[in-house]
Amino acid sequence: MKSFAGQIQLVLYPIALNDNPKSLAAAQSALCAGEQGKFWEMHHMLYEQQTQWSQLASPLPRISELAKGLGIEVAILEGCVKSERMRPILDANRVQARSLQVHSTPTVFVNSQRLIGAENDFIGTIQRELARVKRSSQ
Amino acid sequence: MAKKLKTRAPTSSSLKQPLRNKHSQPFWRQNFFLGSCILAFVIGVGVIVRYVLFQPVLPNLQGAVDNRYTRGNAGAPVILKEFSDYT
Repeated sequence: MKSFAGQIQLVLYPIALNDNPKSLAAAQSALCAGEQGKFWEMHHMLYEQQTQWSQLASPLPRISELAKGLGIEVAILEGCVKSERMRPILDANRVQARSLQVHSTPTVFVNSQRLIGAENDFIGTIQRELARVKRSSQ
Repeated sequence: MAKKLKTRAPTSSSLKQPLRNKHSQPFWRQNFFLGSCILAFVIGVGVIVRYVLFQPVLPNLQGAVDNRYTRGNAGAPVILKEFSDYT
């Protein structure tokens, strides 16, 4: 992706598909970490350490424990998640997803091209889309 | 012998005094003013309750644009919109 520096922009829409409580806890944790300026750190950690929290019935305590290593204030994080202050953002993301007929994750739109699942030729699609945009601008 | 009907003749002093009415203004005007005050009070309380006491706490997402986290340049020729679930 670094080879595309300046040519692509990623916009992230965390969602809790089907209102899964574990997904909600994780997505809210990520957004709540964003209030402390640590969204991307939390975002990557949640995926990298997924096996450590996603199997738990109540993942928030484990997520909080993992968040300590990122320099996140855990008490503030947990208070934010329990207040559900980030629910409107997640609900808006879900509405957006439904309007685009997103039924599974990850779903990535490369401009208007839809790619579903992790096993996709993202690089090739991006390269073709860049070439197309370049041709249309000439 | 029939009693003579006695009436009090108006004196000059009574004629000079203005007629005192219990309601110096029309009755409806006082009621209208009172009702308007009550209505304004109720509306004011409603506005305060709705917009001041129950104001939602807005998230303060550092580094986000319109509550969306992005990487890369705005206006880039290719935009990746990723919908992802952490589970």
